Amino acid sequence: MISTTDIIGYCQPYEIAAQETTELKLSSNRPEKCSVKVMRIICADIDPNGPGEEFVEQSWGEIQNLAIDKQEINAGSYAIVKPAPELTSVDTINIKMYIWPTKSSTNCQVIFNWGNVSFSIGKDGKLAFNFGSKSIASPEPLLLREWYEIEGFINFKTNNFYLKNRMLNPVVGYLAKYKAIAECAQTFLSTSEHPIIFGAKFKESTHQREFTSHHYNGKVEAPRIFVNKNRKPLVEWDFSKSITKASVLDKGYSKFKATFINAPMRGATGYKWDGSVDSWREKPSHYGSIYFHEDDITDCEWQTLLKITPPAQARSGYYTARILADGVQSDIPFFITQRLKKSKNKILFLAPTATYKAYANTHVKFDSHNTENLFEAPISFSEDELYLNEHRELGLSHYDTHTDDSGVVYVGDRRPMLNNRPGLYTFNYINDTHIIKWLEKKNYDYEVATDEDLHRLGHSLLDDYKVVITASHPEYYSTEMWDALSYYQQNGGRHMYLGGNGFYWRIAYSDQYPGVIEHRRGVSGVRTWEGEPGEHHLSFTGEPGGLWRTYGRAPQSLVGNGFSSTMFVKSTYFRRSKESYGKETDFIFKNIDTDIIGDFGFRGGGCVGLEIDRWDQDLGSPHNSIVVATSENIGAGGLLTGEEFITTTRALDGNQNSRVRADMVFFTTQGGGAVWSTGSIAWATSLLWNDTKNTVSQVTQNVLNRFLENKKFELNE
Amino acid sequence: MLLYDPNGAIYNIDGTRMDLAKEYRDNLRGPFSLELQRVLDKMRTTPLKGRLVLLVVEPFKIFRLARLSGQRGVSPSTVQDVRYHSIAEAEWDIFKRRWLELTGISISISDPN
Repeated sequence: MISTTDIIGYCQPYEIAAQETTELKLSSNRPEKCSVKVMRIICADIDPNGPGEEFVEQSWGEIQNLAIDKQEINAGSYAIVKPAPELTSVDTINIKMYIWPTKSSTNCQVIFNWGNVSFSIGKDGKLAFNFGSKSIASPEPLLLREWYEIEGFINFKTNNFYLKNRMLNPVVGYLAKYKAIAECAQTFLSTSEHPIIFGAKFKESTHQREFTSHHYNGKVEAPRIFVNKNRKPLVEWDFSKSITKASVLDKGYSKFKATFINAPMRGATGYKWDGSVDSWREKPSHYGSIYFHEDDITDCEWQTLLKITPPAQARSGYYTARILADGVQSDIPFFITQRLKKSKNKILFLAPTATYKAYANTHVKFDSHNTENLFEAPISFSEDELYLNEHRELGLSHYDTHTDDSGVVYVGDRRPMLNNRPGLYTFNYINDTHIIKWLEKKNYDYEVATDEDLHRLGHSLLDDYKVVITASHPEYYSTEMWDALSYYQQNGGRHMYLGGNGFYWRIAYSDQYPGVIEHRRGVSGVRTWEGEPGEHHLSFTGEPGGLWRTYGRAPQSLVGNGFSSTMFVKSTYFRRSKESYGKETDFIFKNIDTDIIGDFGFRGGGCVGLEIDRWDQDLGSPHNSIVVATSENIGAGGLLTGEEFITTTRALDGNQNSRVRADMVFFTTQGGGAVWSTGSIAWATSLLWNDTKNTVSQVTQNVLNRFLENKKFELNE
Repeated sequence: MLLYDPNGAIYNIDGTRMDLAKEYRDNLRGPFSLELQRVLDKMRTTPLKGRLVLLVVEPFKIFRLARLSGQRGVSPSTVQDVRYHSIAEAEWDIFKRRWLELTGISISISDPN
């Protein structure tokens, strides 16, 4: 067997333009040498019964006998203050903060660490204040998800120290307050040379990287350090400040910066939060906490082994740095985007890299109780998935929960992403390459840009293109991305949406955390976890998170249809509507002599499948939009999404509920533009059926050819 | 925080209903009768710990039967050396095993041809 995991890695940045450089970072579990070949991916589907994998080897970027080694990942978020304050003539030190622990662990969890002083939660769940070799522990375990004020005091003159803790909302039957004092005769090592760490224990600094251990799961708020019994703190931090930033300065001197590593959660409710607001922008003081997790990771910080710089003539597209070694073939994906130069081509394919990140390294098949029920078949695991389960340090997806069961709100690309590459996980990335292969087979000149390009550059990325194609599942959209696409549509652009469940969740990017997106699940939509009360607003921007639909932008308002149902068992087909025979839309079905479209395909045997969208004027489908085809025979395998019904009912499947359907929609826009939306993920995976000799391919070709014409669409055409 | 209840599936399967087993054997991918659907829903929402799953031995060709550990980071444990050469073969065998585990009654009808 050829291993796909003995060597793993990532390219940083994940998305580059020709003549920019991406750095290849590899870690080996066994081989000491490898070779690298760069390949453009035409189709990443390796299924022998699929459309056929296809790669184009590049003449650049190849290297032989590259020495490789194991690289470490320091997973777990923390805050570091370095340098810490200088302490001179200190008789006493007093450290106070609020905490909200969320996990009992078989490991000791360190909440605060400065030199040889720390607060920790032991394996027994008891809070401890530690000074050198001495410790004082509370007599009872802390209750999880309860706020405590904790205080540690050391008197260097009298050689004693104490621990105090107090539950802010006492629970009957549990210790509400505790104070214990003990003797100590230690030397205080907490000088400015030792960083202050919140959320972990400092281990060592090597190669300009800090390594930590004993990560804490839970919130910390308002840490204050007092010396010599002064009423004014020597130093204190207010985490309700600078919530959009990756660091916060101390309150008094503004020189002791707490820098956040691996993105502990900001915009998290604090001990003052009372439900009067649900946004940190309204009452920042209610959002004074920072939430650490032992499995947060936004940057593996691996050493670079090879720099890859595509030449000027390199085509934009999906690429892999294919790593070959004894018994190993492992693909490291990256993108070359077209964003830097003006295009001669008229078609732009938008690679939904935000969605790829959102799903990256998903563990739901292992961790989520309902996964088998969702897919309605026994779960099978590939080598990549088994590896991900064993190596949680590679980080989580937006579908996962942390070890304390809270949802994952930040995901990044500076880590190996084992399900966004050629392999057995076909959702999103591999399905999208069916579209790439179709464009190639049909000899269209096209270019590729990414979600991040769209976010950064806005509509200027799109303006030169006659047609913009969005992929099989462009599910995660920032405001900037949405606005750019909308502007393009309304200024003469032609948009083809070849997928389903698109434009569904709002996300945000941040300059503070390169390569990272943020998403809050909220309380509606198909979710594998539910957002915490009060924490539905994005820390990167302050915008409300969750479904776009909740904030007046249902996908219908952008593309004419929006998410209605999942259907993972069997796919089905479209039937052309009577309305489609009108002169405005007849071109869509040119050269097709049947009303049945797409009763075939590589996913479930039809072009309507996996996740599907429906037209609804009440949700924003434009008044001039036309449903040109609707699905039939979805049956019991189609299940309505939660936001599509208001009161409980048994009638939620495709046999009983008319909302369980896909509608293919067309509408014209201002400036001679138009939008055509398929409303089904499985549309993309039917294009290549029978070597593209099929109705799905023909319809797509009809639309694309018309969209490429200069002739404007009239609003009432 | 809304968490899954590992024991949330409370439907009781009548282990004597071989007609339902036969219905599944003859049409693995549905659609199913309401009663059989309930059986499958129950089987698919048992606790993660011990749930039967498949490990890919050779992509698209050979699968191995295993049980989830139910514990993050801990690999599934293989069940003897049970191997399948198609997903359909695996689905039927897993159905039979789950039927026995949940009802205490073995499926007495023959395997598909």
